[in-house]
Amino acid sequence: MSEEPYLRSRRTLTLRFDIPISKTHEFWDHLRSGKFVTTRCAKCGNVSFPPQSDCPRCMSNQFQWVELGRDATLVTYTHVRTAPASFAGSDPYIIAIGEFPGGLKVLAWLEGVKPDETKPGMKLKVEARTSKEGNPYYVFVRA
Amino acid sequence: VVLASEDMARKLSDTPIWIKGVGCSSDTANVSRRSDYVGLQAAVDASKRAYSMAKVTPQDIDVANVHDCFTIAELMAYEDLGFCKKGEAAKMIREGQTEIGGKIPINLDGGLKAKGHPVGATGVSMTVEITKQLRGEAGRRQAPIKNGVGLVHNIGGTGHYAYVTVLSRN
Repeated sequence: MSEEPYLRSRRTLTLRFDIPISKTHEFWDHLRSGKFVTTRCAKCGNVSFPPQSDCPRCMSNQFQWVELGRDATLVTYTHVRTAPASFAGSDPYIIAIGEFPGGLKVLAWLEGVKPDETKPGMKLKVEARTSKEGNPYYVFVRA
Repeated sequence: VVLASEDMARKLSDTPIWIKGVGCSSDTANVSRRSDYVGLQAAVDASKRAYSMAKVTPQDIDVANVHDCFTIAELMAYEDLGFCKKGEAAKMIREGQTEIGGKIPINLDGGLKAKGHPVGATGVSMTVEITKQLRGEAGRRQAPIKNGVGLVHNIGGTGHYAYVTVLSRN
């Protein structure tokens, strides 16, 4: 079958995200030193992740930092083989939800584990990493 | 679809289809904050509101169109809407309960995955299908209509918006 005639234009789109972190920069500061923390509402005690300066439960803007530790349990995961365009250059990867003691759930990539070794209930650890732009980020690894 | 007041609907059509109940609900967009990954709480809440306004139960629905944007989404919809118990959606399909002659015929037009999902127009096309079904104008894919009640279920975002509409020919 012969190809239809096309006018074809190919351009590269650069994604840029400027995420304001003035109220939650301490999370990133701690992450740089390997510590995993988040916010707890000073009024109602609700613990949020990602860190939130304003409580999604009672709307208070008073909060404290609490340390989450590094141990989590795998709740569920997806093995992404067909990635969105901006991750198309990545090898297939696993996105996981891990639950910390106390019930807080965190979404992150799960690294160093093959999909057929990945089982809900397995023990995970959260690890701090540094991106090529120099930003700290976090992943799960097998405990 | 022509949306009109009761008086105008009676003037415009001999066979108007009535909106008996509407329900909408939202949930967190952040999937990790949800209590359940095999159901959409927004859809559960929206359907309860729509059933309550229409004064019907899931068992009263003759025919439905649900938002099968993915295969799993259709199975979750059956359970969220109360067409079957949690975990029994696959059994419902295997038993043919969602086909013509089954307990509740669903997506007889093929649904989003077979018919198409032009985001924005999808909900309208679902409403058109249920309107045809309730009027007995669906031809070869016509469901038996006993109570004259149909349902449209539409989902948006990462499943954090849900809209349920109960339609009736009475």
